[in-house]
Amino acid sequence: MRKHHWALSLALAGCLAVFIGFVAGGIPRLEEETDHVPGQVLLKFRSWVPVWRRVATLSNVRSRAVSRITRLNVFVVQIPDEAKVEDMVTAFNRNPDIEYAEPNHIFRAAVTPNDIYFKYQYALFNKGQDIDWVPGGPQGKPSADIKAPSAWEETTGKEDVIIGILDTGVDLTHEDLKNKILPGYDFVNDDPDPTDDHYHGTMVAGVVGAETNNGKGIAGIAWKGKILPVKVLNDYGEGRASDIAAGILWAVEHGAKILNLSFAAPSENITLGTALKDAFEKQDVFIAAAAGNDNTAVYYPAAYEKYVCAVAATDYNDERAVYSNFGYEIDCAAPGEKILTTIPSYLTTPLAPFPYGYGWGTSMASAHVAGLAALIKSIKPSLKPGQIMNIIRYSADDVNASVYKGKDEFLGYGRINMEKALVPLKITN
Amino acid sequence: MSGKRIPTVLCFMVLGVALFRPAPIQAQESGQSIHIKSSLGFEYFSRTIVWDEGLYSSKLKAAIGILRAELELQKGFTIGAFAGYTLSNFNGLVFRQLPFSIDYEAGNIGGLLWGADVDTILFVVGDYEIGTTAQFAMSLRSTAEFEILSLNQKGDLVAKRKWNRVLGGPVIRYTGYEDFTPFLSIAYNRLWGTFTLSETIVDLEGTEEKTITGKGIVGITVGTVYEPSAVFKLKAEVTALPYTKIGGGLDVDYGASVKVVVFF
Repeated sequence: MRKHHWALSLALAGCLAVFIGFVAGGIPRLEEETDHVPGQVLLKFRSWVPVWRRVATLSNVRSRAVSRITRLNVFVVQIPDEAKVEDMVTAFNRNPDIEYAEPNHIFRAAVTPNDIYFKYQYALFNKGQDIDWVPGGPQGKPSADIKAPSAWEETTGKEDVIIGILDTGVDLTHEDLKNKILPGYDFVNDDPDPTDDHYHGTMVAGVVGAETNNGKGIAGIAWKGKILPVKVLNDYGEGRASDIAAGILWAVEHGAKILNLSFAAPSENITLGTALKDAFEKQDVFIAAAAGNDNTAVYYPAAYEKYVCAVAATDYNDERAVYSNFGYEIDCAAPGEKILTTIPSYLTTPLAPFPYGYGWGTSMASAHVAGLAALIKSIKPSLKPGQIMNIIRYSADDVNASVYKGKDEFLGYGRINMEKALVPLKITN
Repeated sequence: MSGKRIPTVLCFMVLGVALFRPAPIQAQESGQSIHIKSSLGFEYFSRTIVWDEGLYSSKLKAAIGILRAELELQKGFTIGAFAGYTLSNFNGLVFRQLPFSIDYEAGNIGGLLWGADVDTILFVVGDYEIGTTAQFAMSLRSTAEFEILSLNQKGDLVAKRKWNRVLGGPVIRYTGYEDFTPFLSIAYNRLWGTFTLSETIVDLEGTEEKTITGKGIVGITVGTVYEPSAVFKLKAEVTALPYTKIGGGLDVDYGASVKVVVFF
């Protein structure tokens, strides 16, 4: 008899809790959100709840199960038209018979930015699409890319990570760059206006950190990182070692933790080398540099192998670009062939009114690596530049392993892989 | 008071509560003989744990097998000590401060466990006994090694884990049945520990330690003791431990245990 009293009390308490849960929740208004399926809730009853009580719970709020994921024992529940999903979820979650309720969220493929030309950026995400906006152009090989979208799920960077672009300057008014640019300096003309009077620096800056998910242009790798334009190359794309060394020191003094050096020369320069060594060893600055585009030995500054990450170029099929310089100094490779990026606005014409164009070479490849380094720095700020370099090296895909297994002088450790570098590696037994 | 001292103080408080007995009952029972019993026990629990200062949560699932010795000092006053082995599964911990971030999904890590417990009867009212129960369990630090094979260089991981649990509170037992003694307990239940992962990939090295804490601090246990003879008994119980989810809402963790007790 006593046992019956206990059972009865528990049943009454359960019913009371159900009642209180739904009275407190109410049934409200119309749906407006788009991140979940309107009018639907995913709901899981606790295993001990009998069928009759499940049916009663739903019918009490004029809802019904429209399907069931059998293995998970989760119901897709249709709620009344006038009800709001959030309120129904709250009410269901107050019910002790229900393990959980949640909106039937809509998922989209990884993190896909809404920049209109993202679909041509095979380097970031290659599904074998056309990579030229002119019909008849080449198509990439699926997965011959640096896996940017899945890496962006882990991080899109931080604003306090400053990327120094030592180049021909940057178009400071470009629609896809202007909100990302910090005040820079022009060491060629010795003034505070690092406007790009060539095109190269603007192209590099776009790859590294074009404003992303802004509905226009292209996606940059480091969505939130800031660009510090340091003009050290003139309007012919040439620069003096003295200006470059001064530019490196200036960028470091102004907070740059990542430097991109997309220029090259065959001769070593002690002054430049000393500036880079100081930045790397004493200021904890990561430095990416282009290997050079003459299909010969790696040029400087990339050849400073101890403190510069030397980057070779691959194409849309994950093959080495034929012009990419080679040597033991090569650390890794990144796409450099036919890279869609920003170009200076002044280069637009009535026939080509959009400030975007294609770039080639290890300059583009180096910019991809600088962007990745900025993302690594943003989530692991305590890492030293040598550690960042090793993360980039060891996470690379050995895409030429069938010919040169392991590290080789053409692609180093391989083509960079942002996903492996950034997303937690799953360890299973 | 430092964070590490709090669990120690709580242990003593819980044991203190359990050891408290009114003097009259002790006097009535003095002179009784001391009984030694041994038991074999199995327990399983799934406990929500939080880490990174409560920002993230995952589950600790543990299967435990113990050998336990029990000393009944007087009727209604029992102390026990146990030792055993536990398989502890910390899947879901994510280590983002290592050079390469790691999502730990490698399953159980086995290790030794020991602990002590106290059971008392404070009052008897009709067919009901009201008392206290308390337990302290410590899963000793144990190590497991794993390989990282998804990079172009082979890497090694060394995982070290340990956890402790203290529980204690009032218990009410119904003694009106001949062989069965159902009971209900509402107990303070605290779990804490650490999980350390060390990573080595060529010259990249890093170590990250997670301090884990069990969500929920009060568990409700119902169970029964089945005692068909004077030399054997079976104790089974289930525990529900409600907790507040990160971001709001209530949920419940569960655990269950079975003990086979043989008298000597």
